[in-house]
Amino acid sequence: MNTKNDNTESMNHLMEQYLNIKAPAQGLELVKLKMKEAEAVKMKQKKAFRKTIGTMAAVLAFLFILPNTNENIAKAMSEVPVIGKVFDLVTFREYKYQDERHEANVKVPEVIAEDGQSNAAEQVNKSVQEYTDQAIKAFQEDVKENEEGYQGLDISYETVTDTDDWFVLKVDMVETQASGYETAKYYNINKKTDSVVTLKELFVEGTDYVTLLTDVIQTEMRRQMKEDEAVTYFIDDPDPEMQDFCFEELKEDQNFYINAKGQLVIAFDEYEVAPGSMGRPEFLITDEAVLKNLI
Amino acid sequence: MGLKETEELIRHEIVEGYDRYYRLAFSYVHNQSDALDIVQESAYKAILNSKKLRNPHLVRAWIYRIVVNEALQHINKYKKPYIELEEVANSLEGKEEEKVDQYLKDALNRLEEPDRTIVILRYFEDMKIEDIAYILQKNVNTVKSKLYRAMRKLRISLEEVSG
Repeated sequence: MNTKNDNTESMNHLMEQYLNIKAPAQGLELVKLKMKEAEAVKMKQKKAFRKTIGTMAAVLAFLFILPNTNENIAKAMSEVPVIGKVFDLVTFREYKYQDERHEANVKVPEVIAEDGQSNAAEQVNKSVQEYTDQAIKAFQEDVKENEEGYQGLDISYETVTDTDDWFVLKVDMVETQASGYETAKYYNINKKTDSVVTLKELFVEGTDYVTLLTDVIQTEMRRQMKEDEAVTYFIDDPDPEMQDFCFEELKEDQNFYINAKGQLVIAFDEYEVAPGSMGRPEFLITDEAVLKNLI
Repeated sequence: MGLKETEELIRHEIVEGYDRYYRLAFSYVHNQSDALDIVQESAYKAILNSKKLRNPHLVRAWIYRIVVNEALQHINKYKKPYIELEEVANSLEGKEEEKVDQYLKDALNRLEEPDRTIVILRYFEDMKIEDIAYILQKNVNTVKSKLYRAMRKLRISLEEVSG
């Protein structure tokens, strides 16, 4: 038997078999989706990086101003006469970490009631701690496991509103990593009732607030897009692949806050309803149809 | 070439070469769902790291490199036992010719990595030795000697079966 010929022939058979391995056609669509996902993540990273730089600059500025004004502001704040509870924010704990490719800068806030007793403060603090602990844990796991790229975690906080009626805490989180997001979480405390208020609780019981708000926001999105070509929201997209990303219904527990004028503002995270270039869209709700259902 | 163009080039190559990358992935894991996972993950990483592709002429080799790494990681992670094809071949009742083919296939699958990948890329996908060296991050001479060794092993296996 001529082994050499057999060899070549068999090798050719094997090659045919190999080249005949058929990739499933629907798999290609999944591959395309994955590439889209990667693109979105890249956009986020770019954005988050810019944001991080911005945050750093802001922190620096803050440090400079602090020694001169801190006492005055504190004094002025404590002299404002208010009915209901008085709340303040302090940094409950800090977490810092840095190596060549990882950096964390976390400040966890704690809400303190001046009289030392507040259900709302307790509730907010518990939630904030769970939220930040989770982020820190995820970051620490990344440090251990992920050997490529840059990972960053920034958590900061601020008082958004502090009026007679409302105290609103905002916790900002910037995660710079492969699947990173830039998010904000709001805690709305009703000072008079000493309670943390959910979106649902702002409305008269039984109100279909999800539909009401969805309609108002969709209308506003379309109006803005018509008015300015540079404005884009994920809405009415003819591309079937984008349909899943479209804003069709408000989440029941959508982020919101009460601003200094006591108005309702619906807040979206980056990429939630619009491309990254739109930042974190917010919608001030002034529509009569909604307002009449507010408590 | 700008970043956007590089990304577009990579996307195009992945879509056009989808079958190619799939069958290489399949040759590591022998099942559709794992092979698809590998290709998807590779496509994701390729787009995410598109700026690391310095030389656009190497786009195909560059993507192969990601697929190979992804496949190896996948195997290590799940530690799937290799199918003992030899036993299948021994029990195979059929024409002598089929038996020889099956034997060669077993022998190929039993080659160590990266020797097996080298044979596939060189003979089945017709890649140049230089490109294979780039894909596997080895120098050209190492690839040549591994290829030589692998082909020798295959020939010996064949001689055994066909007497």
